[in-house]
Amino acid sequence: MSPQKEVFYAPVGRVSVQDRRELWGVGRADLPIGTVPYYLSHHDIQADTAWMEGILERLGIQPGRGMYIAHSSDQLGQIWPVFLAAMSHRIPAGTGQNSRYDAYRLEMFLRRLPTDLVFGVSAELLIGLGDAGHDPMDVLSRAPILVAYPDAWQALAAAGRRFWKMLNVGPVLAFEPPEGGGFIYDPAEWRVESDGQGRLLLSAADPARACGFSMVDVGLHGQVCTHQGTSRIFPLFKDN
Amino acid sequence: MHKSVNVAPRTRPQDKLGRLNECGEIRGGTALRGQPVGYNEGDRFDPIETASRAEIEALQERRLLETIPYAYAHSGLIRSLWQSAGVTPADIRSIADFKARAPFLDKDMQRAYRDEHNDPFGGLLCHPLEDLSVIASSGGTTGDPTLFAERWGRPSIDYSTAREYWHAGIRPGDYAVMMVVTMRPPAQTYFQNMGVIPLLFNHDPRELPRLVEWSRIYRPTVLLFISSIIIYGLEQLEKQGVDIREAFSSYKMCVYGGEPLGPRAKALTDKWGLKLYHTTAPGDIGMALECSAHAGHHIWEDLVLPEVLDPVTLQPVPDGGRGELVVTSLSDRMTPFLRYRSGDLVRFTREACACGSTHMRFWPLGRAGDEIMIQGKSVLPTDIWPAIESVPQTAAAMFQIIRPQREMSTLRLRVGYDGNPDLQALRGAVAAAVLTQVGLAPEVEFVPNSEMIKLGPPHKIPRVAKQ
Repeated sequence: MSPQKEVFYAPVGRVSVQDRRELWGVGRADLPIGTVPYYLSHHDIQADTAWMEGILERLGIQPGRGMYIAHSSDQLGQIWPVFLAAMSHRIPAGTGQNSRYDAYRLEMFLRRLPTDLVFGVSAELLIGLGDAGHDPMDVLSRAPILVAYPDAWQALAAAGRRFWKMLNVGPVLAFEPPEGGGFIYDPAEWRVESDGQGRLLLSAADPARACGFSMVDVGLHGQVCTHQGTSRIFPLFKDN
Repeated sequence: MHKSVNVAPRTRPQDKLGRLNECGEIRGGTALRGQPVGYNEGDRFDPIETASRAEIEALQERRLLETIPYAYAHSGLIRSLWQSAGVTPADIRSIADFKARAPFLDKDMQRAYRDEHNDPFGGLLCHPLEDLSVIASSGGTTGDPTLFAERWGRPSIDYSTAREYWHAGIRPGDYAVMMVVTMRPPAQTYFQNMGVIPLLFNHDPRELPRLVEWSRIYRPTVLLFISSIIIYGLEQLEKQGVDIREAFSSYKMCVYGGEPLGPRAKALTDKWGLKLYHTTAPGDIGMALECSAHAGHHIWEDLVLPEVLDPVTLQPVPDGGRGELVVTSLSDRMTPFLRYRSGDLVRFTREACACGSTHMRFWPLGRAGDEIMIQGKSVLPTDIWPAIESVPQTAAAMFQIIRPQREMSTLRLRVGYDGNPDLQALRGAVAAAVLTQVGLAPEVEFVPNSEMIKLGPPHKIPRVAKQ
């Protein structure tokens, strides 16, 4: 008799792994219905790392130069592949909280270490730098490459700063270059489409993906188009 | 089709952590006996945990005598300090020689070297920057944080070991709640290499409803980690009707860290049935956890050579006594600390623990740098803690000592409160409690608890503030 298949808690999607020991971990996916488990296998992490290696190459950071990754531990399902990609490119990665308090740590890294890229600039970090008596844009000027969350875009743009945009599409990270052209994501792992009402729906393109999401509403509106040969997301935000 | 990935392969253990240290030895001392313990065999992860003192000291000495010439050759600060002291690695042939002749290192020396040489690692880094993978750092409550370097698969410090988790009954296939702070080295790999599956949370009270929900669903066995801030959040949830005892009933181990646990907070966690294991960092070079006997923090002496010295005379304190913890790393090839004066005041013993471990245990008493002298009287935050907890509106003990300099004429406190109290009456109540507790009448300013928790990193608030 074959062993009984393990049953996983999955409010959306179907978990594809047979045994919990195949899991790397369980992160979070923030959806309109709330925060749901985001199952990740070791295989998923490897695939996400491979894609993130390409993103780091596109960002233009050179081996041996440093980067700083601002994040919290609930984001590790998305961020650990960034660390692994940095390691494979021989990019030392500083690590700190993406919080107001920890802005002083970012300032210290940028002051003391050759840091070309800040990954995860947020409004909290900008406010924290200001609270600590710094001009946030002056501090960030020490890093030529920025990857920023939506709540920091306006301030960076207002300061005339060039930066990459980072967007959570459910549990998936998507990036838009400074010159625009839509958000890129990993089409080998994910399929993003819009329904008749313009809602963006996310599915796992790889059937082996542990989370097994299928047509999941990620709470964004927009279009998905092919641009320069790649599928890109053009989200619609309230102010555009 | 999946893409190939150019990352270090995920190894399954020769040892249970699947890693070799920089010496090519299996981490954690299994090389001592040469027989790694297999999964599910016994309640010990590693035989070194119960080795005889003679075995431990033999291993310490071998590793120390390998570490010294390496550190001298590669660390500018170590070489500079030893040259100034007129000591060379060849002069050290035993642990006794080391304790008699090796110069001390402290944070101020590291900072001075850093500033003089524009070296972010303060002269301790033994590898070129491009060899590093993750650069983590200390809390930074006393200045720029101290940096810790890691190479992929070869952490510089044993930030944590599987030994304590194994001994607490954590086993492959269990779920572990990871609720950590990210300025420290990534910790989830320790669980993953044990076959334990991390559930990821932010160290933030706003995560607690999800923590309760997922604790009921996944029945995790270990939580890394809770802090006074999280306990405060759990108490708020309980007031909303959440049964904390029921929700957390699956946990065999809840690691508590960040700062001391006040008596009231301890009573709360006891009421909830939490199996708390306190943790602390011995001099920033690793982690020390309590065991199931809860009789002090274990410091793994195969990985760290600890000394407890009188902070004034720098002479050894006898077993059972109090002194400053001085540590030497025995496994770190990235930033090797030799005779590092931690500034931590501890009580210690090398008597075997009731859990069976033969390694040194210590009890943290406070930070020398947190001490304030008021009219010649020494006051530490832990002295004031029970007084703040004793007043209902300030019972969460969110407070700071305002300490512009070490010697002050008046004790000044910033205290957090809940609700909408009469602050004038509250000031009188807090002042009276502090006067009774420490014999000093304080000046008190009040801040809502919701603002106090924003003053620090996620897991604690700085207990001493300059202003």
